[in-house]
Amino acid sequence: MRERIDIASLVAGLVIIALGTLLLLDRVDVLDLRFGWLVPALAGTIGAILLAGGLANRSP
Amino acid sequence: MSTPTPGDPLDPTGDPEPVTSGDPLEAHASDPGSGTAPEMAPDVEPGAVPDVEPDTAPETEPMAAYSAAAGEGTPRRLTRSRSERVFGGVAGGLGRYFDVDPVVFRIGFAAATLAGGLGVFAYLAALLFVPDEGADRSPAGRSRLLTIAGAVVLSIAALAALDNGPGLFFGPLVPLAILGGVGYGIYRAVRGRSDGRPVTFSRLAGWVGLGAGAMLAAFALAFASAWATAEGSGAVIAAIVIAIGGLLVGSATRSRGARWLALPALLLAVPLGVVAAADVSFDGGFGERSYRPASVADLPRDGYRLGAGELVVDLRDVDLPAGRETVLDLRLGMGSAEVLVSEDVCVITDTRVGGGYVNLRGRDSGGLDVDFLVRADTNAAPRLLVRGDIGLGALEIIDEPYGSFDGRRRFDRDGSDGFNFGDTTVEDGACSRVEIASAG
Repeated sequence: MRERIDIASLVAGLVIIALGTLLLLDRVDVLDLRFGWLVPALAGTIGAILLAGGLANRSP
Repeated sequence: MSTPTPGDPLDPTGDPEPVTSGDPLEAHASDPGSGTAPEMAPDVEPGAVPDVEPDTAPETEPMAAYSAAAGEGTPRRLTRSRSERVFGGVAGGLGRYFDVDPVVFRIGFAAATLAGGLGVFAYLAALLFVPDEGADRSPAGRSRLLTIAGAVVLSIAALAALDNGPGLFFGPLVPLAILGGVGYGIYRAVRGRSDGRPVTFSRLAGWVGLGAGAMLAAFALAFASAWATAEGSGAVIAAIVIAIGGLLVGSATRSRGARWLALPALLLAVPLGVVAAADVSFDGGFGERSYRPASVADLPRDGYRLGAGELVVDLRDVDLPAGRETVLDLRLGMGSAEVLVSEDVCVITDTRVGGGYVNLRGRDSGGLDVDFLVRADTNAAPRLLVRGDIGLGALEIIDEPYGSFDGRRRFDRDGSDGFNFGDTTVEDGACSRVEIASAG
């Protein structure tokens, strides 16, 4: 039987990896992260997690 | 139908959901006040035994008062009252839930509001997260709430990206979101553990203790992340965040994955991001440092550094060379820095502040991501260039005659009259022409 993918975990994992990569690039001086970009990055991550959680719970 | 798993990042209590894709409450009881007949959750598999939430256990005698008010056999549930409503029914609902006069809660909200405004936020959070009496609390309803919350936060992200300004996020939304999350967590904790027995002081104290412990653990994790980042280990923390993200992706093949992992990941990532964006570094130590060089030769080539604390550099004894530019570098992770100069020195600056403000002889700029640039021409006067790099805090460049500086004085930030924004040219003392560019 084919296992179902938990979309919420998948999306949360991917956006957290993206956020972590952004922060890592700042820490190794590849880019200079400032609040102007940190805020949309954090809000986007949290929003995507919430949205995916809500949509995943609704799907049958 | 998925299986219950402990810990859901969207469920701060970490309680296992009795039924993950179908709320049993809807299958067993009607909503108080709704008057609707019980319905089986539509996504309960045929043949599956619907789980019963603990709060559907038979009521005990002390619950008689509540039962009489809410209806015999009705499960305990925190809702905003419609009958005891002054504004949103929050105090009325709390009073009914805890079998206490709602006036007690109203006084509490009013007192908390007067003592710093916390009551308003708490009330708004309760309005947001505590359902109205008779409202839909089915999984679809909760999912809808999450979906709406996600859409709102994503909209904020888009607005912040378009505006490139973090003010909205770090303004009222963050405290509101934190309080809302805490309120929701307490509600879920109380609801999940309320097994029909009366809420006694010891049980309530236990729940509060549990919540406080969880918050303390979360704070400790976030603080450790911020501290490690400021100490130079931010790359390690970022790698841990990425690894947690990988674990989440890997867990997606399970029925509900390991969604709870999102919470520690965010608790690590958010403080890391804030410290990184502010460029806070504890390189340079902690405490109060005061320097009073006697000559230009005494100025350190790599400038003055302090990790966190108060830094004072008094240059009034230094005879700066006329007609030339002397550079002073300052790097402060967190705290305040003051540079004292003589009145006959033309001071210019190129300062970056992650969060805080910079003040040059009464002209200042503050906020997040502040870049404060002051250029000037001089004739024969000595010129001092202050290159500041402040993480979180303030840099003040002051010309004070001897004896008038007490080491604690701060400029009145209201004296700038909108002088900070845009490019401005003014005449200023020892500087023959001053240009100011500021962003923040």
